[in-house]
Amino acid sequence: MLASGPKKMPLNKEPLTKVEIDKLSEWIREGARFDEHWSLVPPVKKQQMESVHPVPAETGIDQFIRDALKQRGLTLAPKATPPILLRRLHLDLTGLPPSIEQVKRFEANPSEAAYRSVVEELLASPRFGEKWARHWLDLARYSDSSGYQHDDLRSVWPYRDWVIRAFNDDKPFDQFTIEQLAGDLLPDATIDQKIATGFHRNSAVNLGGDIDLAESLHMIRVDRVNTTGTVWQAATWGCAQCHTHKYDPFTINDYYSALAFFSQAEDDVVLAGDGSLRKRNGGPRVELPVAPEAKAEHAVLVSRRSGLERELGLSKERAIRDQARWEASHAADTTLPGNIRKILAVSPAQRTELDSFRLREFYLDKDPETSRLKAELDSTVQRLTLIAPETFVMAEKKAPTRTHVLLRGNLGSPGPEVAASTPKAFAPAWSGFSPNRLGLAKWLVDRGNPLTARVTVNRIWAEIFGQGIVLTSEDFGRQGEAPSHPDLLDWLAVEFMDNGWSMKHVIREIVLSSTYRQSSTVSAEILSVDPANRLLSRGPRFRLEAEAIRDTILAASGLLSHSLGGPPAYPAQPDNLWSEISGADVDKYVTSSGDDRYRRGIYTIWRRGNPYPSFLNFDASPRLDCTARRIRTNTPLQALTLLNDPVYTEAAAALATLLMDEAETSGPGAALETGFRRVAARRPSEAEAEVLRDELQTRVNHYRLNQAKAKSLSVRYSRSSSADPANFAAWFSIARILLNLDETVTKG
Amino acid sequence: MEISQDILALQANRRAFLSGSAFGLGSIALSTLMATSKALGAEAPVSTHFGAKAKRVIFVYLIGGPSQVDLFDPKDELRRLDGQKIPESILATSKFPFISGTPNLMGSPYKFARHGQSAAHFSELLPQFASVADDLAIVRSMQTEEVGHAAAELFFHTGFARLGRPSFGCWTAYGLGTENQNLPSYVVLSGQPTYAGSNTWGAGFLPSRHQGVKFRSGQEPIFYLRNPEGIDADDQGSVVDAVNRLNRHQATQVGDPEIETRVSQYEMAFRMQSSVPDLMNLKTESPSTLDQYGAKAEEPSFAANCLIARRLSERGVRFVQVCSNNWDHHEDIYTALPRACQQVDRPLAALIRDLKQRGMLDETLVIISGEFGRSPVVQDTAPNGRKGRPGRDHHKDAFTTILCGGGAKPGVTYGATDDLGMKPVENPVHVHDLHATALHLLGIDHKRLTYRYQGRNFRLTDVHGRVVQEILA
Repeated sequence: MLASGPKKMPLNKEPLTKVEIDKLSEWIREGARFDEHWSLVPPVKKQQMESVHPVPAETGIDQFIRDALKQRGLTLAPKATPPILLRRLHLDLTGLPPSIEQVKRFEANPSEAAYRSVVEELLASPRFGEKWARHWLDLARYSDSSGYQHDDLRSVWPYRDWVIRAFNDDKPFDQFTIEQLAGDLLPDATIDQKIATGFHRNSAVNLGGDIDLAESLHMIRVDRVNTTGTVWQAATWGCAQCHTHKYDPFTINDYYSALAFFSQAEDDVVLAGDGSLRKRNGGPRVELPVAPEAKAEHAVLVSRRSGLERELGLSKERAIRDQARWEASHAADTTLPGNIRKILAVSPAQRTELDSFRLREFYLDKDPETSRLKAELDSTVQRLTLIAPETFVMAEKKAPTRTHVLLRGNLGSPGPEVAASTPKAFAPAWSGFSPNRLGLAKWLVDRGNPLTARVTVNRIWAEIFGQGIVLTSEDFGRQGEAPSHPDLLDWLAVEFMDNGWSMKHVIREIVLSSTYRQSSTVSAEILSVDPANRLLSRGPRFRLEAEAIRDTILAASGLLSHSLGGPPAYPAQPDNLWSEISGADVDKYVTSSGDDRYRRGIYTIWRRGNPYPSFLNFDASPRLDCTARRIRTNTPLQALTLLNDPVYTEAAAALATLLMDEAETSGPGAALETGFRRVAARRPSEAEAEVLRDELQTRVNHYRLNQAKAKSLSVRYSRSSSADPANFAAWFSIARILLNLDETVTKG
Repeated sequence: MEISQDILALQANRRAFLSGSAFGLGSIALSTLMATSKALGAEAPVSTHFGAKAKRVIFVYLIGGPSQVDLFDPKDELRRLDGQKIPESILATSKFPFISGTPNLMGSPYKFARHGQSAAHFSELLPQFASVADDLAIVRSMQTEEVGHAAAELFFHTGFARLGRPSFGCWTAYGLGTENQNLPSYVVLSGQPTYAGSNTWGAGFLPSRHQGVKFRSGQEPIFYLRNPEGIDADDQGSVVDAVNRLNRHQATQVGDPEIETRVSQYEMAFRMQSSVPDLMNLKTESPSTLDQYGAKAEEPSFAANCLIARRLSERGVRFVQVCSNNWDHHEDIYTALPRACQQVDRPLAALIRDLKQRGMLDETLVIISGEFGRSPVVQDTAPNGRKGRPGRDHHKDAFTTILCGGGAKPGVTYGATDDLGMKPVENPVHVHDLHATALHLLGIDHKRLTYRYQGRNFRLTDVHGRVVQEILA
């Protein structure tokens, strides 16, 4: 900088001004201190704030929020009204709205003690785990299919149920971490601890015939490193796959040292074993215990399965021997698909591997014996997975794979060998930990790790307030956002660890705070000062997540099934959606019947290639990889979903029936109020009640004049055969209005 | 411009729009399918900063990055040095994500010829498109900053390589409002997912109603577009009307601006129920038009999407994005590239001719580009490690983007690259410059189109961007 001539820095840029040079010189004279990035310094609780703000019945949280508000001349907003607050609490702790009876009880006694007792009751509800598992399953990229082109279905739902149970049991987060990353490596691992390791079996897996086995396996390991970095460290480790991280202290060596934890695990993907290049999900799995009454059938099915597998193998061998003859006789067959005819036109020796494979697949599908056996095997396996479900787990290889740095991330350019270790610049130091997944897990939940607790409490905060204290919950690095309330974040992190890593403790602290209990009503004035509510100048108000919208509407209409856990459910979805991916292994979607149609969103089948569209329209992630934060949009497609999705139409019909019955006994006014309270918890204002009354009357008149239409609606949707068609059609209209209100799909 | 005005304008219009009865609502929607219906309360376009040439944009996004040296930018020297190692000094200043070591230069095997009065260069792979050469402004010195797909895609769309900023189409919708109340102002036609998913057309911090809406190919372009069985437009209209009356009431009580957005989205949804099926019905096009594009009325294709793009533009949709995938030719480029070209060659030529013939080209800015280009050096190892079928890697330093219509100068080739096609040697145009230029043509000063977020005024072009005067008509 001070040099003259061509050596003068900065290179080829405008020289610095004298003021800038003086500042830098002073900084160097003072020792050139360069503070470490905030998130890499362990959190500590700053002074006890209680003495500064002796406000009764507040948690530590409020003092930090009040302080920041005060600096802008603001204060906390008034408390939300009892029905609004209770609805918010129910949605946050269980993902479901309260019943009208629950609201009325709380309205009658909205005391501090009553509120606290509701908090405890909801924290203990089995619905709590169903709600809180959702965000974790996004992080865990939990899905019922493998992804990529074939996108075959797989059984990992016991892992999903494990997560739900873990939240319900308030499994301490350190243990929660250890079991998911390394449950199999714990001494005398229980079956549950093994199921937990399904966490890293959730990687999307490419089973195509057109990908190298080694690359397919490598991609899985890469996903595991990146996911671990995001979930526990909110670190963008993935950036260092090809080169040392541009902004954070994470080198390419660090990346492959982390990858070495996962190259010791057993391979997930193996060749399909049928002579083709197709692959299948391999790797270890555990079978859930069979119920005593199913034991006999289980034994029969197991023996049938192995018999069929043997027969199918033989049948394929026989068919393959005949393939040349078949090819000769079909060389000029114009009924074959174009791509197959093209392959046939090339002599076998000249065909690419991929084409030979495609031809073989096609040919085997055509072979009657082979396809019959395959269908029989499929149905046997399907039945078996129902009575003895298995689930993917992790286990270590006997002889671990060596791990090399891959130069520029290229699998073809191995560099120096590395040993399993955590990033050098991240605390705590990597020594004294065993060099395997168990060591990694213990390192992550070590008190000296500055990130894990912060990252976790931030995510809990974001679930409740709609945004984290660090907005970029996926990135606590230099490229992420700085925390809005850094001392609060640290306070919560320490509080979390001091209380045995209890997630319920953190959630309780939050929902008991005055910050949480504020009204979300906002004036234009406050909106201009705190537009995005970063300062928490009001209570949270934002649209519910996709699953909660489904749950809320089904609950409000009385359809919701309360059964817990088990295989995925198949709610009604648009026709033929599953046949849209060419080459996918499964193309039929069989809609669940009975109560299973109305299960909570968390149990909806999650297929990566074509996820349940109703959820996608509300920003659910296809879970191709780890999703730390869903975006929240507001689109016409959402309106169309709520208006026209047959699931919601069915819910409206059920709600209409309930309300119509109530109108019979208590009159239309009372029924309208019930309907409104079922979706919004609060009583409608006079203006709102009037809109609904007018609408009911207008629609009754309309349908009286249009009897044919009313009749057709009634025949199609009414759940009670005796109802007057015009009356039903009008209530159906009211129910649809109620289920489409902004308030119905919003936590306010 | 302030968003509060935007909301006020919307409220005023909505009142006019919804003041009729439920019957009126249904009939209005049915009668306002075309863009000529401003009197019925289309959102008043926000005033522009100066005279606009273009009223709307069609952006043809070639996903994956087409090879400029095989299509638009002939390099004789590269061909002469084919098979030789790239000089280390040049390699040192380049960045190829999938190439290791010192790769060889690879000349194009395709014949180039000059076309039209403008004598623009095209390779033999795009014979039809070459026939509209005199309508095009060909920028051969485009530059971006990212070499990875997702990052480069975000950069090209939002001017920023990470998630969270509004896409160019959203800025356009935000800046100019909509001319058609029955359709979203930003529509995406894409058969395949993009690298950054829906974030590519996401609204970032802008109000979410400006985000791109993706139409699927085929029978039901949007899920849940049809009314539930047995419910007619009148039933549906009465529900939407009552929902919005209650929501508006709620908005006055609670003050959350998101409720306003929801009200407008319900109105839009209802109108889309009639406007979208009409729009997507290509059977109303003449056989000769279909033939010109190479489209079939009932078969989803890039060609059909180009035709739908014209129909959307005709209806006043501000920003239409048509995606073509299959341009990421890391391996086997000489088989894959001709195939990809074949898909777009005829439809692109047809789109431009069709717009011109209908007198729309002057007001419609067409932009054709990938998120980056492809390397003049060979990539002989595919990303999955397979060897032997040559391809080209990503190239951020020099690629070709084409503009046409909407006030772009016809028949001009702008910028030039060095003899190997590695870097621009003349008039480099950065993605920010492209954004600035396109906004300029739309009548918007890119430095004055701002949105305040987290205490800062954001722009599409951040603190950069130069209007490329030389390519303006």
